Amino acid sequence: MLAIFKREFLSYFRNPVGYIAIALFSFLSGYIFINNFASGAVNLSLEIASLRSFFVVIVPIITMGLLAEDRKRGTEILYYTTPIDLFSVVAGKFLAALLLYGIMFINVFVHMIVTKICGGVVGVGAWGSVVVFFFLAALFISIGIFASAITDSQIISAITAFIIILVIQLLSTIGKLLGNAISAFLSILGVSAESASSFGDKLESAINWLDPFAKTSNFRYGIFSVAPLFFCVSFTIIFLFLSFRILEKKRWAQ
Amino acid sequence: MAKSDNSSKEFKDKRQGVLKLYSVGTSVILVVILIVFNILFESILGKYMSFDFSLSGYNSLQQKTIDYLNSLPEGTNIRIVGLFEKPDSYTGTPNQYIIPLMDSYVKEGKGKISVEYVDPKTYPSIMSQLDPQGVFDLKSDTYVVSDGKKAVSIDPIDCFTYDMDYYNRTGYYMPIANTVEYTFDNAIYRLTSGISHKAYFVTGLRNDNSNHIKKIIGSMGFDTADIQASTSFTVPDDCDILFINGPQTDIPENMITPIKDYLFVRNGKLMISVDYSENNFSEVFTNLNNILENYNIAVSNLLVRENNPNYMLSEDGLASNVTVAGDFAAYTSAKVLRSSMARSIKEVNNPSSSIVTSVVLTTSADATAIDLNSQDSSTGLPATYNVGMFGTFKDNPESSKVLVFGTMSLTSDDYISSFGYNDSNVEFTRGCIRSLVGLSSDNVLQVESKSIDDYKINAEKATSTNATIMTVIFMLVIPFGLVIVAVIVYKLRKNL
Repeated sequence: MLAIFKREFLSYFRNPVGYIAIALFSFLSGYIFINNFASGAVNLSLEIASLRSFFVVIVPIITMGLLAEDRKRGTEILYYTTPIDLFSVVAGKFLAALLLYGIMFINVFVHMIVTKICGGVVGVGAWGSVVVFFFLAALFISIGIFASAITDSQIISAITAFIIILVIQLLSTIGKLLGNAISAFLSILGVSAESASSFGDKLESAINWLDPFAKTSNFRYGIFSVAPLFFCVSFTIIFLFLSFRILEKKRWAQ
Repeated sequence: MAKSDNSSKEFKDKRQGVLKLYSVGTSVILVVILIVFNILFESILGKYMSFDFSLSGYNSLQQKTIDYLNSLPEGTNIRIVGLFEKPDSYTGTPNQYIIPLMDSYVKEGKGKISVEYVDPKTYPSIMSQLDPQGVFDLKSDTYVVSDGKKAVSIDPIDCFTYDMDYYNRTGYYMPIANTVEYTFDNAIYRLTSGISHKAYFVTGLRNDNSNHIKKIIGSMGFDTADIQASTSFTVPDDCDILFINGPQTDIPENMITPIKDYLFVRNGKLMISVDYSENNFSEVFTNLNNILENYNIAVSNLLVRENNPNYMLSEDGLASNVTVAGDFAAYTSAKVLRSSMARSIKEVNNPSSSIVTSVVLTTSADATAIDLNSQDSSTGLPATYNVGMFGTFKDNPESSKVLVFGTMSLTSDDYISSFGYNDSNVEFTRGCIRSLVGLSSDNVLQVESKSIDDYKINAEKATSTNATIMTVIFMLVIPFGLVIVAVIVYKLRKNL
């Protein structure tokens, strides 16, 4: 796993992808930070929370080639023909992408230092946001790896990851719309307004339960909960396992 | 040969099928296990595995509140309803301090308290459900605390105290403390305590607002209302305590008789706060003193100046500490209270041996007093001046009581909003009100207000020059530097 991790991590810096991703992150985080700074009040937890909305762009960039590229080049055969645990392959690639995220995040640590020097507050909410940021990054990277495992085209992989992450980011809105739509539909079918509304609310709650952003929103206010982190870890494991199963299936289908 | 090919293909198909089944099966089992485990973890351990590290614990309930919620009888059903759709993001809004705390109310309420968010625009029936008679003045974008019979409306902006000095200078509200827990606790307390007192505030004397003192006594189980100082002035029958807070003019003559009737016939309680301001320095308060003289008290026309450096809070001595005298010291944990622009409250000739007059607040022995209306405005002789006095009748604890303060530092919006609800002066005011109406301190739920996040950076460093430098570094130098490196790497390695 270490060899895979090392190879994948260094490969980010042997082609433009790593640099472009860091440059993009740096630009976006800098923009948010400077807007805050110019207003005379820097709320870092808000900056980090805002940066989470850029997962939808950055994650597909850094994960699209992780498995798809190997398949396109035919180098994936090396994984299948050597006595290597395929989960180590997936985990190594996952950790490499996560570390790249860590490198990107140095920007925010610099902002923290500047804020502190300028007499601002780097409160517990900011640290809560940092914790959540990395757990969500892990979740979305695992989704990106899964998207990369199901195709040999980097473009399709990126689009798939983009769509999945976008849907997750819009889950609360989707839940609301679906809840209202179902309520309205049931009302048309003659179900009593109260029951229809109740069913709509339950559906909305069920969809919202899957929303990692809503689950982790309180971290930025200094409330640390284990359950949302456990949720992120669980779904990270699920997507990594799915990626592993796809590779494993291919190995034995050769 | 053909047979062998067929059997190989069959074997391969069979292996494919088994592998597919195995892959799908293990994946489904893992997904189900993890989802079920998450649901169980969240519902069983979730609330115990949540930790509030926020500044001043503003997302958690204080022990006093938890104890109070535990003490509520089984079957209590308090419904807190936010009359709006729960926002996805509330950072930078008052709800940042309210919505997370609501979760704590649900958790610590242990089934006695429920919280929900219902937008009346989507569900208009919620208003009539909470307030069938339409008497509680419920509005959108506020919270309602209801026990099913009564309701208390809470506006989020009332859950904070603001720097009034900053407001007076800039016209903007600068929140300095968060009283969310205080406000919600006391709304619940008002619904559940069974205590029902009514306080009336005399208005129309060009007095200042009394919003904060009303909130404070509201938190002690009082309903509050205003009575206009008019020719038809009467003190309502349900009045438990009458406030004359910060009058800038004397009361009209026709108010003397109704107030005297209230005090002497109905054993009423009167609390007056009047300081020395540019608007009332020439006011003599003859009619007010007409009532107070019955208790051996008079509001003087003297501005108190403190000369003892240990008491002075300003160079001119007009802001100073005052000592709490006698039994009144028990109402506060502080030995001294703040006062400014104080008016001397004097004893007059005692009209009756049945009257007991006590000193409540005094200056040091080095204070002087000035009559700004007199031609001779020279400083008087150093002496101890009273800034607060109390009068009642002997041997009858139920008799009327009068408390007069020569300072607004106990009851004014300016003072309370600047120093918050935890301040010693406010604590003292509560104690005095309790004493006047005979409330036990056990009957008051007193939780601390909390500080709020301040993200301001040093103004000297938040200059436009520094912002420009940082724009160049963070948005130009670093990103474009990295793009240049990316181009170089691409050029060097594209043929490898």
